[in-house]
Order: sequence, then structure tokens, then C-alpha cells
Amino acid sequence: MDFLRQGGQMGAAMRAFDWSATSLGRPEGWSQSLRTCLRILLASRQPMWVWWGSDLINLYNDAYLPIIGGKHPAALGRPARQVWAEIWDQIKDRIAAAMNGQASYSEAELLVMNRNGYDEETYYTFSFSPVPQEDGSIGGIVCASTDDTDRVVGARRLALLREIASRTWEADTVEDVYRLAARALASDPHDMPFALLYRVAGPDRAVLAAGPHAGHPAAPRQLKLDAAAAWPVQEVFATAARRMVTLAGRFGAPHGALPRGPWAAAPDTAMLLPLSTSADATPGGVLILGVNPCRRLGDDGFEAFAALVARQIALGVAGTESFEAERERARSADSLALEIEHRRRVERQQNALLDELNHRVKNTLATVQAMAMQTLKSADRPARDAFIARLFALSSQHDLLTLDSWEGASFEGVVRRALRPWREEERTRFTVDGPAVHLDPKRALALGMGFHELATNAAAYGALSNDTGLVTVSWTLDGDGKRLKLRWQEEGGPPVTAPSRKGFGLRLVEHGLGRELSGVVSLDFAPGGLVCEWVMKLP
Amino acid sequence: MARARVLVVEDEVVVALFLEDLLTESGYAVAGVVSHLSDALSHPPDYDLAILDVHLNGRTVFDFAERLAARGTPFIFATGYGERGIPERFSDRPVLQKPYRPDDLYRALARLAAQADA
Repeated sequence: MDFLRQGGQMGAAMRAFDWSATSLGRPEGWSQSLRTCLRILLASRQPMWVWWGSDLINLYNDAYLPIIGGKHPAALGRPARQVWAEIWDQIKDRIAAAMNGQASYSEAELLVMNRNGYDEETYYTFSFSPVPQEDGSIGGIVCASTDDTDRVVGARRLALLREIASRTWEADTVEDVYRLAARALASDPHDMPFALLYRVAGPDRAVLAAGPHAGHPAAPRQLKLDAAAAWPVQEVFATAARRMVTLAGRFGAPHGALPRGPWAAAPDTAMLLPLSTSADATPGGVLILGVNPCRRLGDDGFEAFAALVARQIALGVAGTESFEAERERARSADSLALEIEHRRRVERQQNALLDELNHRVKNTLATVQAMAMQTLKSADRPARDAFIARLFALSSQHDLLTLDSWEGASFEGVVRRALRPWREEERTRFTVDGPAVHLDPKRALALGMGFHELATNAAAYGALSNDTGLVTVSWTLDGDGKRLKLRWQEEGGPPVTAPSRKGFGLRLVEHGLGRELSGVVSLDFAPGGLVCEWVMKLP
Repeated sequence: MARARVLVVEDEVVVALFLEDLLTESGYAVAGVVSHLSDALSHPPDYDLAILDVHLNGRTVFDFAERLAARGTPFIFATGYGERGIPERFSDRPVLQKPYRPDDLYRALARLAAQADA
């Protein structure tokens, strides 16, 4: 039996094996083809097996031991169909083809093997090669295989991390990060058949931030942060450490109704991970993921991978939060600056316009003044002076309005300005008193002109025509501030007699302004002094 | 003392005529009346004082005012804009708000003439 002489552990096992109980019979009777195959197989460092005969009796080398796992040693000498019952349906056509002389090559194929007591996700690249016998018939199949599991799973996890990073990179808001992260997680459910993202939404609750599984009993829209919650997120937040949860019975009998991803069975374990960028940072949320039921926890870096996923999401959230904060600052600063700039511009335009308007009015008044002086050169001086005084009264009230950008003027300002030409430095001839009232431009101008005429009249005939007279201007507001009542009262002047004919000024006060201001004006030529009372509605 | 000679820079013809009258009536000599900045700039400096309308046919009189200031010729601004329209560097110059009373003009001119003599 020199063909079984070498081959380490498996060579010894084959030599010790009682082959007479198999369809192969005792090794002494094995064909030359099988002998040659076994010689190669046992000498090879490549994981290999030979399935031989009508029963496809299973023989393998030392390098294959890790692949066959817990099935060894029972797998030796047994029909392949029994050894690999769990994947038989998947490979039987290729086996049949090989027994028909047709070789096959399969690259990184997923094979869910049950070799260590659980369904296990594995990836193999393997070739089935028919082995012809001396008579030309196919005696069996020789297979060389390479374990690609670590490579495939590693690449897949890296791709998923990259997917999360690249998707959440574009996120504008925290909500977007969660939503896009959930979408990325759903794009490859191999490792995490389901993933739920909860975001802290207050001291006592977390809300489902991304809901591909919303509506499922395992994915309530809200989680109270207490012991009675569907998931023990409270503990995760409290300890900022990940936690495993056994799913059996947690959501009623059929936890099988949980999303299964590509697997035949639903996860039986879930992992809860805090979403924080560092161990001491307060988690902003929690990632709840169903653990791939076809990987054994703890032996393939799944936990490290899950931690990286959680960290990647947390980084996305952190980046967005700082970005949001930054942008919020920028936005508010921008809009404030824009608002200020806008107001300034409007104000500048308005001021420029008002300046221009005022300039034109003033120049026009200056022109009118010049024309009047020229025209009235030969007329009597009082007439010329009265005209010029009226012109200046108008001009002066105009200034008052310009100071306030034509938004109107205070009543007191209007009165004081109108009386300014008659003010004396040594003594006070006027008492001006009343509540604050704002006048629109039209009323301000009209009242300014009115006071000018009253003062002119007083200077000619009334209280301002001697050295002792006084003028009191007072006003009150009533009717919810909508009615202005004002009073011009002279005293201490020469005895008053009603004029036989009212001049232009008093007629302007009595009728013109009354009409213009939709008010009532009464002139009382009382002997002690003229009293003028106006009542007008304010807008 | 000889009569002070005044240059009138004013683009409103009626106002300019009025000003001319006011000046001659009160003992000043009018050296000239110009209504354009270029005319003001090219006017021979045969005057002691100047009255400057700030806005001259769409241009301001400030370039000319600079020259007068450099030359030491006293001047008065006359403007419908009020003092707001006068640049900071001229803030110590007298400003007549249009329309102004003849007396205001005379007072301002008397002060300028005193400066020019001193």
C-alpha cells in the first residue's frame, strides 16, 4: 500500500481505515487511477479530496482538514452525498457533469456548510476534475479547493464601511446620516440581516431614525429609555458599551419573522452598539443589528466590524453636527449681514432720494424767494416781508421733515420750529406743552404753516406785539389717541378786538387748515387774548 | 478799505441775479457769476470771497472749493442739501441753507471779509 505511505495524518487515517465496509473495498483492489490520485492528494499541500466510485466515497488530505472541520473523522470513507448533505443540491449538477467527464471550476462560491454544529457561511474556489480509469470510464472526481471566506467577508465588510462613509459624507443633516447609513446597511445584509438606528430624542426616549423595518414589532417608532423597552437601549446609553441580546422569544414566538437577509434563518442574536465617536462621548443614538446567523461570533472579527460600523455612523453624525453648527452660524451670520446690508442700501437709496427731493424743493424755494424779491422790489415792504416769512416757514417745516426722512415729525417739534423766528433770547414768550404726538408729513406741514400764521398775527396785533404778552400752546389726545385737540392761547397782549376783515393768515388757519386736516377750527377773539382751538382726527 | 470782490458760483439764474443784487446793494463788488464748475476753475482769481452753490448742473463744487482753500480764499457754501451734503474736510466752512435770508448772507460775508482782511 505504498500509495498510502505518505500523507501525514490523513495517510495514517486511510491506512487505519476499514475500507472493506465501503463500496471501494480493500485498498489492495483499488484501481491505478485512484491510487495515482491519492498519491498526488496525500503529497499535496493544497486542500484536496477525491470522491470515488458510484457512492462517491470521500477521501481528503491534511490540508483539507480545516475545511471539513467537525465532520472529520466521520467524513472519511463515507459517501460525499451524506457528508455534504447541506450543500448537495447546490453542487449535484456539477458532480453529475464531472462523472460524465466534464470538469468545472467555481470561484469564491458561497457554500453554507454545517461542519461545526451550525450553518456557516463559507466561500470556496474549487474545481471538479473527472478522473478517467483505464477503460475510459470516469472512476471519480478529484477536487482542489481554496478557502476564500476571509477574503470575501473582509472585502464585503470593507465595502460596507466604505459605503456608509461615502453615503453619509454627503449628508447635510443628522437625519440624513441615519437615513443614508440605514440605506447603506441594507445594501449588503450578509453580516447584518437587519439594522435599526435609533436616535436619542430626549432624556427618556429614542426614536427610530431610519425605518426600513418600521412597523415590525422589533422596530417600534419610539423606544422608551427604560427597562420595559423592546430593546435594552437604556443600558447601552448608560454604559456606552455594546450589548448582545438573544432574540429567541423576545418578539413573540416567530422571531423568524425578523428580516433574514440572504440566509435561510433569521438572526438569533442582536447586537446593540452605542453611536459615539469615542468611549467617553455621550452616545447620540444606538445601532441595533441582527447578527449574521451564519458566522460564529467572536472568531471572525464580527464584533470589531460592528464596532467600526457604529463608529463610522457616529463620525458621520458628528461631522454633520459640526457642519450643521458651522453652516447655521454661517447662515445666520450671512443672513444678518445681508439683512443689514440690504437695510443700509435701502436707507442709502432713500436718503439719497430724500436729499435730492429736499435739494430740489430748497432750490425751488430759493428761486421763488429770488423771484419774489425781484418782483416785489417796488411793492410795499410789509407785503414782501410777509411773503418771505411764509416762504421761510414752509422751508423750515420742510427741514424738520427732512431730518426725520419724511416719516413725519413730532407735534412739539413742529410748534417750536414754527415759533422760532419770534423767539427771544432774554425771555420766554411761549409755553409749549402736551403729550408726544407724531404727525404725518401732510399734517406737520399744514400745522407748521398754521402756527406761523398765528404767530405772525400775534406779532402784528396780539400777544407778541408788546413786551408783556405770552402765548401758550397746549394739546391733548383722546379717543384712543386718534383725536388731537390743541389750543393756542394768547394773553398779556393789547386788548383784542375782532377784526372787521380777517386777513389771509387767519383765513388760512380757520378754513384752509380746517379743511386740509379734516378738523374743526374755532377762533375766539376774546378780549384777554386770541384763543384758537383745533380738533382733528389723526390717522 | 476797497469793496470786497465776490465770485458767485450758482447755476440757478434767478438766484444768481438775486444774489448779485443783494451783494451790490450792500456794498460788495461782484467779480463774476459762473454757473459751471469749469468756468469757476478757469475764472481769474480776481476776487476776495466766493459764494459756492454746492450742486452745479449735476456736479459738486468741491474741487473748486479745494483750490480756494489751498489758495486761502474764504468761501461760503450755499446748498439745498443742508450740512449733510458737505464733506467732512469742509466742516469748518460756513454753510447757508437755501433758501436763506439776506441778513444771514450778510452776516456770513462780513465774517469772511474779516477773515480775508486778517
